[in-house]
Amino acid sequence: MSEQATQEQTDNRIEIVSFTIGEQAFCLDIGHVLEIRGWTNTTTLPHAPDYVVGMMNLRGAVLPVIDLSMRLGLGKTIPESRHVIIIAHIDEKSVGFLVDAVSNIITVNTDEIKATPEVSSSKTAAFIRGVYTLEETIVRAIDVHQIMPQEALSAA
Amino acid sequence: MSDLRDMFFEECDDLLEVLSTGLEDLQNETSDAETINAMFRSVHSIKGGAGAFGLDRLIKFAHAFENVLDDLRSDKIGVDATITALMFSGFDHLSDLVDAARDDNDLPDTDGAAVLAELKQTTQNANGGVGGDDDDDANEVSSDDFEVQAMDFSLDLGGDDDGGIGDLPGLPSLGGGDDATDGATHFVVKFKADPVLYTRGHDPALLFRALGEMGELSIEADRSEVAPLESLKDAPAAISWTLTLRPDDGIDESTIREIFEFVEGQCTLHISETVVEAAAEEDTAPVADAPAAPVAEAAPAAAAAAPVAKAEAKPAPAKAPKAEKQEAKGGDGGKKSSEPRNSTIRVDLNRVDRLINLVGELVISEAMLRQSMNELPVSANSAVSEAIGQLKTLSGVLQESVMAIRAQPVRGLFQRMSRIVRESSRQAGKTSRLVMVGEATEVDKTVTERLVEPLTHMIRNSVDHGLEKAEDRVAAGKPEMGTIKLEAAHRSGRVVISLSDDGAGVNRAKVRQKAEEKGLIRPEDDLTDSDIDNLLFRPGFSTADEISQLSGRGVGMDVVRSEIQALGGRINLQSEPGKGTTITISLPLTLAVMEGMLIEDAGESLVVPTVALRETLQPGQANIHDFCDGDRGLSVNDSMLPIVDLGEALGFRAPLPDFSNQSLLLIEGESGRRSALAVDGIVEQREVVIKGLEQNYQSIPGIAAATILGNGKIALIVDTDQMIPSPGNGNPGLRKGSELAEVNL
Repeated sequence: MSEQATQEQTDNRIEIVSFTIGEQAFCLDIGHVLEIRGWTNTTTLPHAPDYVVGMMNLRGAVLPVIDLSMRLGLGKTIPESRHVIIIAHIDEKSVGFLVDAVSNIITVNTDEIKATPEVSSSKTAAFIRGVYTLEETIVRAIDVHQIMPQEALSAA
Repeated sequence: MSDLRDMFFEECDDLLEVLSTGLEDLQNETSDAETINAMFRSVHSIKGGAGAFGLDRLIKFAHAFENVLDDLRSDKIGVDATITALMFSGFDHLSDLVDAARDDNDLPDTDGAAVLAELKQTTQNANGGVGGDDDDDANEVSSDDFEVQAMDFSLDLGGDDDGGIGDLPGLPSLGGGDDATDGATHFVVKFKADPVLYTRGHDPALLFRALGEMGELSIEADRSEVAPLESLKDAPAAISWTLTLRPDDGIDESTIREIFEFVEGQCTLHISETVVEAAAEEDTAPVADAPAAPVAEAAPAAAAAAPVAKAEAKPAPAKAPKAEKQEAKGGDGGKKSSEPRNSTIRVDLNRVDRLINLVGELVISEAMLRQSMNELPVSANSAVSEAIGQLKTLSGVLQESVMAIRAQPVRGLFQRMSRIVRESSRQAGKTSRLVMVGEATEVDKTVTERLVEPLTHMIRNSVDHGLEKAEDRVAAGKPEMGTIKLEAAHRSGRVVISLSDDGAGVNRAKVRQKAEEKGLIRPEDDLTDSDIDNLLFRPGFSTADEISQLSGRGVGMDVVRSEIQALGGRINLQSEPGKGTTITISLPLTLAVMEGMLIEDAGESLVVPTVALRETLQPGQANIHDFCDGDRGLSVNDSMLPIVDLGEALGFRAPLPDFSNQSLLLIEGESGRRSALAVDGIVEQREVVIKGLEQNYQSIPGIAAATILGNGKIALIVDTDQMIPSPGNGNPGLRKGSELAEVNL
C-alpha cells in the first residue's frame, strides 16, 4: 500500500492512521496514536465545550474524549458501540478522539501533502494541515495541536 | 560525577537539618554535649563532601564554622546569646553556600564575609588568650591550610592521577611563628591502614605525598605482615609504614593530623615528636611491630603500594561523603551514639509515585471485583467472598503503607521557616523568635514542598504586620521579643498547621475601611468579626500604611489562599485585638485519597468531599422557602442557607421546579459559610482515589477532580467551595450565581 513512496525518499516517509467521519477521510501521524478502542461510556463534564463528549477511564487514567465530528463542524455524533475511540498523546496530554471507523495504516511521503484549499471555513483552515491523495481518496491531515480543547474556552 | 554531586547535596540537606535542630536546642537551652557534637559532625561532613567537589568557598566557611563548634565542644567558648546568634547567621550562610553550589551560582564575595570574619575572630579569641596552648593555637592558625588538604581529598576521590598534587599552591607560611617547632625536631608518623580505608577509596600514597609537601620526608614500609603471593587474597591492609618527617617551619602535629583527618577511624595512626638525633621510635604506639621494618627504600615501596591500594579501592567514590560522615562519627568515639539512627534508603520519588498509582489501581480493581461478585446470582460461595474480604483488607493496608512512604515530618519545612523569621525580623527591625510545635507531624512530601511559598509569605506578614514595633509592645505590657508560633497536628484525618503571633491582631476598623475604599464590600454590609478578618484573603487587599520591604509587594494573602486551596486545603484567620492573630491551614493528609459521599444527580454519579459535609437531609425533611428569581433558602436552626441545585449549577439540567423530592447536603466552605446542595439521591460514603483532571484536560469550574468507581465509571468530585455563594465572591462553578447569601435570622 506504499507504492508511491520511492526508495530514496525514505527520510520523508511517515506512517499515518486514516479514519472516517461520515463520508470524509482523515488521518493522524501514527506517532501520536497510542491505541484504538471501541466506544465506552463517558462521564459528562459540566460547562464543557460541545465537542467534549466527557471523560473516559483508560485503565485508571482519566482522559477527555473529543467528538471529532463536532470539533470539525460536521455535526454531533450519537455514540454507539460501532464507534471507535483513537487514544492519542498530544502536547503531553492524553486524549480520546471519537470517530466513525479506523480504515488503515498507510505509509506516505510528507512531500506529497497538498495545501488545504483556500476555503472560507475557519475550521478547515485551522484544523486541516493539508491533504494526501491516496488511490483517488482525499485524506485530510489533522493538525493535532489545534484540535485539542483550548484552555481559554472554559477559563471564564 | 553529577550523581555524586546530587548525592552530596542531598546529604547536605540532611546535615543542615541536623545542624538546624541543634541550633534550636542551643537557643532553647536544651542542648547537651551531644548536640554540639552532632552539629560539629554535620559541618565537618559538609566540609568533607565539599572538598570532594572543590567547592572552595564552602570548604573555607565550613572550616571556620567547624572551628567555632570545636571550641564550643571543648568548652573554650560558652554558649551565650551572641554565640547563638552567630551560629544562626553561620547556618544561614552555610545553607546559602550549599544552595549556591548546588545551582552552580556564585554568591557575591561580600556575602557572608562578615560572618566568616566573626567566626574566625571567635576562634582566635577563644584560643589566642591561652598562651601556652600551642597546639590549639596552631590548630586555629593553620585553618588557612585546610583547603589544600581538602583538595587532596578530592583528588583522592576522583581517582585522579598524581599530577594534581603538584598543582596545589604551596603552603603559605603561617602567621603563628611561635609554634613549638624549632626545626630540630622530627615527627615520626606510624600509619597502618584498616581494610576499610581502601574500600572507601582512600589512597595512602596521596596522604604521604601531602605530608611530603610539609618537609623532608622519608618513608619506610613494613611488609612483614604481607602474606606470600600464593596466599595473597584481598588482604591489602597488611602493609604498615613509618614516616619520618623533617618539618618545614610552621608545621606541627595538628597540621599533620589534618592530613589524616579524612581517614580517621580507618587506620591506626601514631604521631610522635622526636629530636633529630634521637630518632628511635617510642613504642607507645599501637603499631608495636614497627621496629621490625626491614625495608629501606621507602619511597618506591609507598609508590608500589599505591597501585595495590587503587586496585582495592574499586571505583567507590560514591560512598565518600557517607564514609566521611561515618568517619566523623566514629572519630568522636562510640560513646556518643546515644541517638540511634533508623537506617534509611533514598528512592527516586517517581518510583514511589508509580507504586502509589499502581496500588490505587489495585484498590479500584478490587472494588470492581467485589461489585461483580455481588452481581453474581450465586453469592453463596462463601470461600470466595471470604477471600475477597481479605483482599480488601490487604489492599487497604497496602495502600496506607504506600502512602506513608511519601509522608515526611514537617520539621524540615518548619526549620526553613525559622530562617524566614530571623531574616524578616532583621529587615523589619523587630526581634522575634519562632516556636515550633509538632514538627514530627507527617505530611505528604508534595504538600510540604508546596507549603514553602505560602508559609514564607504568611510568616513575613506576621512579622511585618502582625507584630508591633518594640516600643509599642513594651507599652502594651508585652515582652519586647515577639513570638511566632508554628504548630502542626493531625486532626480528624487532616493536617492542621497553624501560625500564630502575639501581635496586635487584625485592626478590623482599618480593614473594613480599606475594603470599602477598594469596593470589596459595601458600607451597609453587616459583617461579623470573622468575616472582616477573612477579608484579608481577598484579592488586592493590603493594609500596610507604608509598603515595606517585606510584604506589600502586591502579592497578598489571596495568593496564599489560592495556593492552599490548590492543595485541597482550607485557610482561616482568627484574630483577637491586642492578643494576636492565628492563621489555620487545614490540609488533606494525602493528595491521592479522600473520603467522599457518593451521590446521584441528573443521571450522573458525583462525589461530595466528606470534609465539607455537615449534615444530610432526606426529601421532605427540609424546611424550604422561596425567594425571588427562583432562589430558595433552607431554614436550619436559626439561619437561612441558600440552596444550590447541583444539577443546575453544573449545567446538567434546567432548574427544578421544586425540591420536595431532593436530598439536601449541608456543606461548609473554608470561610465558614454554608449552603445546601440539592441532589437526586445519596448513595453511600466511601473512600475515593483522586484523579486530577488537569493532567489530560483542564480544570473545570465547580469540579475539583475525578475518581473511578467500582464499576469502572468515572465520577466527578464536586468542588464544594465553589458551590457556596457569598457576597462579592464570584462563583465560577455556578452557571446562575445564586445571590442569596447566608443571613442570620
